[in-house]
Amino acid sequence: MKISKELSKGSTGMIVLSVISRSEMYGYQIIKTVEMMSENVFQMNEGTLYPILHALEKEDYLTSRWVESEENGRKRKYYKITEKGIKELASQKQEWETYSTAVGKVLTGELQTI
Amino acid sequence: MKNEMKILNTYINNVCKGIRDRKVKNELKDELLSHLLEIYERNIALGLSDEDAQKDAVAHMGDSEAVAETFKKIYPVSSEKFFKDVGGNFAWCIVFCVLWSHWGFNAIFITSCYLMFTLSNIKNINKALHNAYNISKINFILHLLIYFAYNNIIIHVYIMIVSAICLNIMTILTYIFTIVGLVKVRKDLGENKTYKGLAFASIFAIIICFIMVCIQLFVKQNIVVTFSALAISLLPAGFIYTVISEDIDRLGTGVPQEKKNNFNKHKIIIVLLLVITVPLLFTSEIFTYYQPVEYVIDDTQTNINETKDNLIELGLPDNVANELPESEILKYKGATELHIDSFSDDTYSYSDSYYTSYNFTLCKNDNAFVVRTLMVVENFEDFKEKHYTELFIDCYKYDSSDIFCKFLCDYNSETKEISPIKCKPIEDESFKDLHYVFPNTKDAKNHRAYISMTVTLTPMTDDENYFYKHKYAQTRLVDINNPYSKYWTRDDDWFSCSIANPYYIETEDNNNIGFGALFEILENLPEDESIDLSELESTMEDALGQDVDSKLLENMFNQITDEVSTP
Repeated sequence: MKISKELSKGSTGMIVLSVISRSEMYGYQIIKTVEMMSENVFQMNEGTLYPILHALEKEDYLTSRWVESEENGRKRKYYKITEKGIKELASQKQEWETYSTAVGKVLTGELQTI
Repeated sequence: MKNEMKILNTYINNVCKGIRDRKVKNELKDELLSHLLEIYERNIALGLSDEDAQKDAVAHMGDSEAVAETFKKIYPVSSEKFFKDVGGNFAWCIVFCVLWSHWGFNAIFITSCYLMFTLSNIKNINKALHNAYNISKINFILHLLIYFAYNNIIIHVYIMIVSAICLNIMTILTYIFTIVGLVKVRKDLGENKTYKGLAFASIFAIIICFIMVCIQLFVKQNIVVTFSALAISLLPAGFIYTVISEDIDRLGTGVPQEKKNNFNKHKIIIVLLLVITVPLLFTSEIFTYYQPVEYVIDDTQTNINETKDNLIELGLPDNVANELPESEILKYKGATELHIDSFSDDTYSYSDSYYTSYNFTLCKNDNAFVVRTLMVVENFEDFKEKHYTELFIDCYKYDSSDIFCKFLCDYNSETKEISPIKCKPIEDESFKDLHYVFPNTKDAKNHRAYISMTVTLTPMTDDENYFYKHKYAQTRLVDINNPYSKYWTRDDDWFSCSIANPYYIETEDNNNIGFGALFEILENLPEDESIDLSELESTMEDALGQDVDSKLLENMFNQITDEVSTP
């Protein structure tokens, strides 16, 4: 099922942070990991990912380093979450949980009127 | 491979075109290319053609314009900052050129160091050092404004009279701004997050320290380490330690954990090194220790002949030593060095006589020295006739810090005693005792701070030429009973009186009047409060052999009588 851009727009940063919080990754790896973990629900566009990564790095939520690949000698930029990024992720998660719970209650709960 | 990937490179260039920061741009290009190549190689493996593989790769990225816009928002162009950098550097160059023309070599040295730093491209290499770069400019300006003796800024504050410790304000300010610069470096390092920034910051710090040390060596600041400043130095030491430790943490994955552990292990050593070295760096220039001059008579030379032999051994000619009265010889008891200056009519345009100044060093330590001078005139009668015995008491002290003091003294015509009554520009009660406190000087042996002790009856003036004429006046010391002098009273201090070169007030019509001559005439006149100026004028004209301006004489007479009558 394809998710609309508007719906996924606000959570993309949180998703990226969440994936990177588990392990240091480079861009292509992040995209594939997100696809895999979301069972292809989230198919992130590369043109979307890299601006998000750079913005997160500028905010000090991520740090990066260049690593030379052993396979083909190509340099890849690996991203790692910082302490500040971990705190931000926790905050966004809590916000998301509150939001999603509230949405779920509205969608599935019994009608309550004033 | 890059050259063959035309479609990929075109796409990447379009995406990055809006980014001005060269470093960010280059890194982003590498990052995007790396990603696109992965997709490209996957497509090639799937059997696509080269062109299709590239097209598919860029299609995954999305519209290049849209992506470019996104990156432009993340890395906005700051045109104001750009013009500020360029314009600012240009303005500083102009400022330094102006200062260069005014201050000569000093400004040349500063300017060259500044330009070296400016053109070293450190800023271009790592824009994160921008703050530190601006602070360094402020630091340079401070050096120029405060550090040079040509400025009329009071640079010393005497905070403890007893032990005479002087707090060097300008040095403190300089180091404050250096510390501020280091703070900015720390801030830049936090933003940069790589070892490269730390390396450049270190280079920057070394350059700044090198320049500051050169500046201070050039202006010959005295270096004295005082333990009392240790407490103050601990503050920057602790700060630097904190900066380094925090920056290591903030460098993130760029620093291997093993290196972090090693740094933690050696923190104590680093702190100790800082505690030892920072006092030397920071305090040596902040405090200047003034030790009062203590002249101790050499009691071992109780015999007049011993003293005389010592003087001869130091270089005093035999005939001069033999002609000196005992009282004069005793003044030079304990002399350790002799410096001889000879003056002829080539040196002073108004001197036809030849005289030699024998400057004996009586006492010398690390902080001060005492000099007593004997002036020997070849033809005293001729000298006295042509060059009037002037009465100056101007004490000039010039040392490496270019601080000079002038004592104006009062002359008691009855007792012929000279006592200082004024001191300019530093008015300090302690100077009335005529004890000089010399700042520390590295080359006391070559110190040209001879004291010229002559009595002047001229009013104090701010005329620079007045001081300039006596800037290099030598010490004279002659006993009143000495045939070489006539009007002097021995002072209890280490010099008493002098015969100096005449000081003339040059009027517009070259009507020169020697004050000494006037004084001599006044002395010889009967004590009478009401003096006939016309008679005085006539007497002076006879004595001087030239016409005397009546109005000028009247003014000078009034000034002199005021000075003489002042207790």
